[in-house]
Amino acid sequence: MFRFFKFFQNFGATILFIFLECIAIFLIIRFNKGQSEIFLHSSNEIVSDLVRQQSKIKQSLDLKEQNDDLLLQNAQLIEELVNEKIKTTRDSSDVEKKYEVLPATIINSTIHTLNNYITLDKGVKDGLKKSMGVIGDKGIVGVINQVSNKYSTVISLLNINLRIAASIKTKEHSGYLTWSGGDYLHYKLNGIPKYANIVIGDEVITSGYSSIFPKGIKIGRIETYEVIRGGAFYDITVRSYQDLTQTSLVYVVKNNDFEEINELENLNEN
Amino acid sequence: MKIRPLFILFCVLVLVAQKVIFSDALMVVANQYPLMIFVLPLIILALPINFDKPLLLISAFLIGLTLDIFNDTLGINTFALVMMAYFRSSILNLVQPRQGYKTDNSGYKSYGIGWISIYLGVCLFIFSFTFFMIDAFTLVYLKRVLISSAMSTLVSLPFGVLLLMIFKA
Repeated sequence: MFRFFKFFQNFGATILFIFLECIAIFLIIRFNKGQSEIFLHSSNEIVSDLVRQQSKIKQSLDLKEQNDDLLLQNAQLIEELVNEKIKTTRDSSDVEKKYEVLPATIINSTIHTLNNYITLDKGVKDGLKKSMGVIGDKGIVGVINQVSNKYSTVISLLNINLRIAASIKTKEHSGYLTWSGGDYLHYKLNGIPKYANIVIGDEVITSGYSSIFPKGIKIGRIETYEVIRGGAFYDITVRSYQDLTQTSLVYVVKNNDFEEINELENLNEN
Repeated sequence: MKIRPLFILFCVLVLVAQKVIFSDALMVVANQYPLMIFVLPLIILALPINFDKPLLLISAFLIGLTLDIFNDTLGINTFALVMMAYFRSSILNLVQPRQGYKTDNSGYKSYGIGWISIYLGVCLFIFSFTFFMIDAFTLVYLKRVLISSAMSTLVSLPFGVLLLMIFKA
């Protein structure tokens, strides 16, 4: 015991010094970003795995944010693109935006029935309404059917009751696109007259003959076509760009003139 | 040992000065050598020569920590200050005047400005070197750290000499 005290008397200050410096080093590494990075980097032989995990977690935490940012950016770009097309085709200097594009995420979707629906995580509070068009990154996805406050359901393109006004790019003929069940990549394009000069590989786009989708959104390519004997139209099979089984992020296209056009058209019918 | 209120006031003033006036690098010479004026070590250096060593270490730790908490550089000043406090007694032994230290608490003033400069210079250099070394936290910038600490010591020295000449330990 005496020896212990003697030892402490001689080296007490040094022990205290080492102890305090250890605390300081701990604090430095724990609370200073630059130093902690260097520390973790230099000791990577031992803790490389830990660092990798840490950066992975950091990254994946950031990913959500980055994704949201990119989604918004994409939506804005699509919006600009769509509105730009209208401007050039109309040849007007309308500053008012006809279409607005909002990003949304698919939270549920069916693909196995003949009447498939998709559920989105955006609803009335985000400005969604019935009959708005929904597009994916490669092509169209569907049309909004029902909206609640926070969610909305979409009639998927994989729904035999949905008809999309479509036309063939570079040609003026327009028809409508339907799905006939079964294969989720192939659709039928009806209503293209027999005299139209079509080629396999022609691009099919939305025609803009409805107030749901703007003109010129890509849908797919013509894969095969045949002439129906005695009929006036081609029977065209279109291979869609957008694989609805693998879609999770979509953009809702809001037509600001939708109600006006709809009212007008309803007057016509009555 | 009685702690005088005046000394506490001195501590607070130095801490505030270091935090408010000399908080950032004074300037960066040639774009790579940060220059800082360190007044914080003066609290430790102004303590009496025969001050109890463990107590000195603990006070250095607490003072450094106080500044670090306000500066958001937790540990850096603390580490440097404890390092300097530990080596203070060795330096005091090294620079001991031929006739030895006086026992009558007459303060540093009585040893003359030359002695004070040497004592402060060595201690401040240890402090700045440790500080910049911890700041860089790697040996890669050793030359830069050495130049920075030498220059910082030089610019901090007048403040220290002035303080020790005025202040009676």
